[in-house]
Amino acid sequence: KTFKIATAAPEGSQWMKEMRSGAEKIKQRTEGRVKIKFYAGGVMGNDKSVMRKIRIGQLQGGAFVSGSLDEVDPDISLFSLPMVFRSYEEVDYVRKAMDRELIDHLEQAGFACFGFAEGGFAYIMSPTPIRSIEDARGLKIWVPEGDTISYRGMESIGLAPVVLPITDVMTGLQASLIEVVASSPIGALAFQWHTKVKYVTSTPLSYLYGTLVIDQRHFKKLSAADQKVVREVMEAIYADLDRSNRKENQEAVKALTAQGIEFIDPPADETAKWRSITADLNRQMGKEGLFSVGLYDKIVSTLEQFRAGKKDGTSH
Amino acid sequence: MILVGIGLFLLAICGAPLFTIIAASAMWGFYGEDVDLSIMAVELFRIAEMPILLAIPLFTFAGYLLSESQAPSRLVAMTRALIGWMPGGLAVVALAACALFTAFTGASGVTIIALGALLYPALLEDGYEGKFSLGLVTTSGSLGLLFAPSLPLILYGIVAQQTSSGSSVSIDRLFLAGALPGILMVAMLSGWVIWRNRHLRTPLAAFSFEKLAVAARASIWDIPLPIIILGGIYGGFFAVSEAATVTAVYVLLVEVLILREIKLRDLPDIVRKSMALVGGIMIILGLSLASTTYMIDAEVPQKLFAFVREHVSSQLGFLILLNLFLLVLGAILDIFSALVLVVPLILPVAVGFDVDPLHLGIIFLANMQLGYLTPPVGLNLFISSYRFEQPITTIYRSTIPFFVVLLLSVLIITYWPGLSLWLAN
Amino acid sequence: MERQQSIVLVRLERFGRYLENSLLCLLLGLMLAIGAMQIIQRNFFSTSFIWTDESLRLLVLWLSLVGAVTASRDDKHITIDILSRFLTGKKRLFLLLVLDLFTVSVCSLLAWYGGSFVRMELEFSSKVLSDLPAWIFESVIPIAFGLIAYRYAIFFCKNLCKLRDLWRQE
Ligand code: NA
Ligand code: NA
Repeated sequence: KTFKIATAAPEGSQWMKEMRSGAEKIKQRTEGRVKIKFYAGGVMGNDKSVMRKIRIGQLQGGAFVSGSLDEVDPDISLFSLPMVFRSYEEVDYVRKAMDRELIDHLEQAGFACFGFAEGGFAYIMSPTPIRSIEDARGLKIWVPEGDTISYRGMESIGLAPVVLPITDVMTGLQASLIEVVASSPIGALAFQWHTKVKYVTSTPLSYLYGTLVIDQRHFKKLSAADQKVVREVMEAIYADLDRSNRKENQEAVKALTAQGIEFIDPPADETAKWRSITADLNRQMGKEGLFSVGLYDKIVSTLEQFRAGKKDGTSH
Repeated sequence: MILVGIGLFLLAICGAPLFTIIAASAMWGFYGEDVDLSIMAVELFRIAEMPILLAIPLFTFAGYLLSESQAPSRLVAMTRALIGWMPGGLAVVALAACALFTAFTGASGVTIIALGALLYPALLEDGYEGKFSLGLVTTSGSLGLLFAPSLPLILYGIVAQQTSSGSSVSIDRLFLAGALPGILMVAMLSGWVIWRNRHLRTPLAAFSFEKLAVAARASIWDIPLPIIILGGIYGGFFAVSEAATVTAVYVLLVEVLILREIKLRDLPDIVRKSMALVGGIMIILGLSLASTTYMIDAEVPQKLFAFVREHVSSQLGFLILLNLFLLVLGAILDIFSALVLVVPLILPVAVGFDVDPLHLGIIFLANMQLGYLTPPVGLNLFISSYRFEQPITTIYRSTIPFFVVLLLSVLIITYWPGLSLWLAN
Repeated sequence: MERQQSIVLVRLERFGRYLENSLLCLLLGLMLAIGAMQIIQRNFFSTSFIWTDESLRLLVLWLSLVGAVTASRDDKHITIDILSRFLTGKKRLFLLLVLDLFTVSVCSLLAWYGGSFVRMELEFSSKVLSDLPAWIFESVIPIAFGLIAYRYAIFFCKNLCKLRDLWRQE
């Protein structure tokens, strides 16, 4: 059985190298019964097209960024809501508690899922320092088309969102059609947007992550033993990517700093203002049905638990 | 399998619509792989997922409007007044304009239908031979890929950056690397068109500021357009992808409301003609997506390249085979798929043979540019044949001298790395 | 009887042409208006709509397919056509019949499988422009190919009649 899996991740990236090595392991351990063929770099079309191709069976799976699975289950990208997390510690705590639940959502929707891999925090990157809502006001920030949640998030903290296809971002930055981008350090380096900005505001804006899914209609046809092998190998790879991407982002931060980009910390009261605005917005979007409020509340209460525990820890 | 191939080929040269040939071959391939044929519709729907395609209908419409107006005559008057003393003056202007236009729009044939539609009648009016003019506008359709801010150049930078090869491929340096090779192409073609039309000139003594003033006054509404477009993009007022909208709206307003060279009641007919052309091109592009997907599935580029790799042992050998390989690739794949699929394959090998990644990018795009003109399948040839209502064989013949000059320039670019690397370093 | 039928067909064709032309003008007009609106909005009001780009791209698809149907109106699709110019008379007509038949079959297949694609999208309630059903926008694919097949079927019949007439003359 051959699984054909498409992704937008470019050939040669860490992501692809690891997935290919996983495919090799699976082939060996199942004695050639399960093969995986990857189509990297978005050659099979964007994530929506890939999803359509999975439905008609030309492809059997895809490695997506969480937002692309909204159509399968709108709650998958809950961790990416604006300014939910303040640090990677918080991310680890919440994901430990909730990853399983989101994965089960995907499994129920008909996709075998092998865990999430971190893409990192997206930060505001700009030509002038942004320390407050006043600094941000009116600056034009790029928003990918169709990304309603980002659009409203950016708007709520005073930025002026400009919707553009990704192909226009580089020239857009050059000509000041857009002034600001929000991206993970890895992403900024990959697309070379870092050459057009000078400052990074170090308050995390949102949390990005990706996942690998295989259509259950095909996955279930494997013997139970083979299914177990695929799961074991791919889950290990995704756990591994999850860790190594964090390291890669840390290195990317170093690379950005080395190229003279300055990371700035906004004053505490300004960050608090941003967070209260985006928290209100998130709740509002939940009420409008963009995702389930119950799950969002669960994230918030888990975070409160964590923050309270941390305070206790320091006071004793 | 081979029989089906031969059959389709025969049907194609007998004049079956090209899109049916592409669709049939893709369907045959998918059928053999047991893929549900609704894949064809999925692929076709990807037309609605590619922002760059937006430029095609808009520029086509603008091009039709311009060709139906007096704009070609005004252009002729203007160049005569300005550089009438120079042999092949208008032809050189045409080359430069097309290169600039392609740099901003990519090379999807849109240069031919938008700018060629204006330039072809102008060239004829200025006394150039029909076949020469045809060859010129067809060739110019892909000139300029090497100039910033061409999208393929940016995409190469991004793809090459990901393919960890040691040295960094910054887009800014890539822009610099493309400049001289791009200028070389335009210069060599200019040299050829000047020599070819050395008889076509008015004596320098005939130059007069009065004539120039008259011509400039007549063109008072045409001159602002390039300024608005370039100023708008570099001033941050609109995106490169929106330049087509601005152009179409501007030309529509000027030609219909201000100059009134096109009557309102003629507009529906122009819309119909231009959109029929758009339909003809886009249906081919859309179905080509399907045949490309099939070729990716069948690993055609990978197999081709494995063959190349097996047969090289030196840098020179690598470069020669690379040129051939890319020429074939440019004729069967669209430039964006080719970039994403093939650059990760060839880059590590190229670096192994001491080819600089920046230089490789320039070689890659220069060859792809030729691929648009390679018979029998280069897309620009068909588009030109359709737009100017000439048999495809006439188009083939008319592009031959230009093709030879371009090929020469591509060889120079390939075997003289300094040309690409001098500015960038 | 045959005469009446052909009058109905001619009227149908005329109405179809009118519809096509109007649709093309409407779609292109919308495209220009939405595109211009986006630029004005951004420069003067510092806002933009999240759906603008997607709607423009859907318009491109529609324009392309309606345009393709229009191109088939006068058999004006892009061809390589190297050989058929050397044929005349009956041989040429015979070749045209083969080509028409081929085109009709390919387009019918594309229409049929386009239809099954649309049904599938309906079944999975796929969305475009945040929450509009995608199948409405996608159904232009089978319809367009169905119409192109219909047009070439008519060319086939016309060429068949011409061939019959040629035979009778001899
Ligand atoms: Na990419
Ligand atoms: Na091509």
